[in-house]
Amino acid sequence: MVVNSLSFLWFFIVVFLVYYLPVISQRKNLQNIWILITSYFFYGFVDWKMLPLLFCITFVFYLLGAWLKASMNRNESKKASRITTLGVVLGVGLLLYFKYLNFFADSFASLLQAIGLRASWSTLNIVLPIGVSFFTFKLISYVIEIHREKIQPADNFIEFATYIAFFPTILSGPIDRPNTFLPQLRKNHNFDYNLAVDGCQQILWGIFTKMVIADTIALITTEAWTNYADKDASYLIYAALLSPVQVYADFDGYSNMAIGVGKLLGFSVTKNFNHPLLARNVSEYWRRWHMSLTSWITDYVFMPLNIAFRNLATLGLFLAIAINLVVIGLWHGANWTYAVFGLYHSLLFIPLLCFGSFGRNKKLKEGKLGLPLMKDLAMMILTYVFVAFGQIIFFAKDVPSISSFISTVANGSWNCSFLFDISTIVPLPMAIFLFCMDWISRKKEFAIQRSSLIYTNKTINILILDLFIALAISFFGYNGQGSFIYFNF
Amino acid sequence: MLKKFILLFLTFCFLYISMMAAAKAFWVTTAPSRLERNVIDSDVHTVVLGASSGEHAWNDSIIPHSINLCNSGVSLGVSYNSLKWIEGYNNVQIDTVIVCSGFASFIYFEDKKLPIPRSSEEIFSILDYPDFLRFYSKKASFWENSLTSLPMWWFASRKLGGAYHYIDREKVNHPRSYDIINAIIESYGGKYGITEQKLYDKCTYQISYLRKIKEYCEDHNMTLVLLSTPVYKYHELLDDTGYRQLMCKELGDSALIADYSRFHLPDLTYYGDLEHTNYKGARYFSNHIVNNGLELQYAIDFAANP
Repeated sequence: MVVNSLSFLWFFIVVFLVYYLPVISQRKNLQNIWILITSYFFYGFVDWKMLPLLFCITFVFYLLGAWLKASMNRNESKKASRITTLGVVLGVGLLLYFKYLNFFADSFASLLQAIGLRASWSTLNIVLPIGVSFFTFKLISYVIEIHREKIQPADNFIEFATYIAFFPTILSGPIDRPNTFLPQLRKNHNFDYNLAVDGCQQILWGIFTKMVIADTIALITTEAWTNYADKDASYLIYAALLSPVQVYADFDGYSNMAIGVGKLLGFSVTKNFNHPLLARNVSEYWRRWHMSLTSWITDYVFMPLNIAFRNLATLGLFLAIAINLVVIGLWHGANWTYAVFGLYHSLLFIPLLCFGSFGRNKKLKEGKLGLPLMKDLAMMILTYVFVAFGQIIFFAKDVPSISSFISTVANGSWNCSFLFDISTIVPLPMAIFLFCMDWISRKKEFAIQRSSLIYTNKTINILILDLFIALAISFFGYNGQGSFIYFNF
Repeated sequence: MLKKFILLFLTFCFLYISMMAAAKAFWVTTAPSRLERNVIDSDVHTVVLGASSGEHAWNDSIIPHSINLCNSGVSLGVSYNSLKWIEGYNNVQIDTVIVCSGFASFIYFEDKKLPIPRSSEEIFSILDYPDFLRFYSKKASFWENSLTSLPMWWFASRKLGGAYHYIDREKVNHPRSYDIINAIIESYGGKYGITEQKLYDKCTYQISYLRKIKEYCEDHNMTLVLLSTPVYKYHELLDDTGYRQLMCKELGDSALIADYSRFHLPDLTYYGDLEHTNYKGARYFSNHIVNNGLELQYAIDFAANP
């Protein structure tokens, strides 16, 4: 049941109508119970075999939270630290087991063989629970935040389980932090007309970017990643340059849908993207890209490492960044290509560290005719090209495929005849359109938020704009793709 | 406020569905005017119909007096309706109908996966109402497509039934070449599982339209030829005895079959994949037909001598 499907629409209509029934909407506990039931139904619909795991691990972390708080109340700081460590180890262990066990076992065997030792063992048949990378991070941050005394433990199990399993975000995020989400579960949600209309428009924009932009570009990029040996260099470069827009439109599309659904239920879900196409360097790119993940990793990985390496000055900072980005890379899956992806991005930080521009956050200025300044535009394009190269690494099947892809590009022929084919050229104006929309709506949460394009509260104008978008989805949307890239992670 | 929101949502849905239905109606009703090649040149006597096997193999610029109207993914039902459409435009000079539906393409058209061609709207416009119902009752995605991606169809082929399609791929040795054939073997229960009875069970629509094409050709004094285009080592992988017996039973002992399924092209570079020739294969095959004529046999011999 993908979020942009008819089955999800029917499911959500039922969720929505029951959620705002007077008998339920006046009691926060009943609303939470209803959200929890529907979230488990939703998750079970996608992967029912993993429901017991989700329930058990949620229950374990709920108990850990309560135990931790009790220890802290008794001023048993060592015990509290041990409980927190246990929670982190449990969460990381869960991820390691489901995502990385076979990967590390294979890699270790290859390493032993490389140095002449025999190593052979059979790998386990482990089924990856969908959304595990997302809900595990929620679980870990829950215990850490209690230990840091930034949050109070959940009032009851229903509240905590609802936070973990919240159906709009369980499959692909955004990764909500307990300090922002748990308080929302402690009050009842009355229907908010403006928030609901805003949510609907955000969902519509999410569907648009996913189905019209991402899925159309995917026809080009999928062909390039899978059959790169048969393609000429110009086609591969074209696909690589389109790829960042595809991934952005795909994941931002999903995030917008999730946030929009959350708004319809009265929740404020964490923002995941802040117009990353407008980034002028790689540091800014990572501050704008998948923000719920990067802020999580920054808080729990980068900051402790930065403190640990502070004696090494700039080198220490670089090491912290490199480890941070490798962790982000490997979070995506068990493949060395993701580690290389992280390393590649960390190398892009070297010029920023050398010139002292790391961490600078200059405001985007508007030039003549409302366009970006030439210098900013040049930096945006340069950053985009570097990110596009990173996508080659990201989507490579394995590490040798990266060099194979690059050598195909370097030695390949240049035949730009594909640019005269309507099906291959259509994605290009779509990518440029998304870039323009990002620029126009850079101060807004999403491109068609009412006050960004047409400032009005009149119902008729909302209807016209939404109908225009919906018809554009129907006319230009590619409905053969379906799945979201980040469902794989 | 909740009522106002629900009203707004329902109004939106109503307007959206109305506009899409209007666009769809316009698109479908104007489809016949967008079709090309409905009037065939007077010196063309042979029309070639069928799916991609014929589309990629029969080069009508080499084989004189013929026109290739094959199109990827179409079933015999579409071929039947294309035939009626051609007749409807008074193309009385057509005296031979070649249907490219050999063993390889036939077993692809199990009823449960009855394909709809990409140019659905155009085909929709030529289908008789009962045929339309028979086709699309099996194909849920048609109803999804019917409300989406309308202008994308504009970029699809507007040629009725398609045309000779040049392909330059050479993918017989591609790692995934055998995926589909393995799925077929599994679906039929092994290499020798494609029995006459199983074909009857699984290919109801295809068989019913084969009968219709046969009857139509008889009624209009046209010669029907069933053509199997060259395929790569297909019969080493699958036993086609059941298919041969079925063709004989359905078309009659004296029906004409042109079986090139065992025709050897010079090497692998002449095949696009297991089931299709590429442009080199099409050129070789078409020249062979020009030089030697179409080698025909009666269905009864076809059934008896693999």
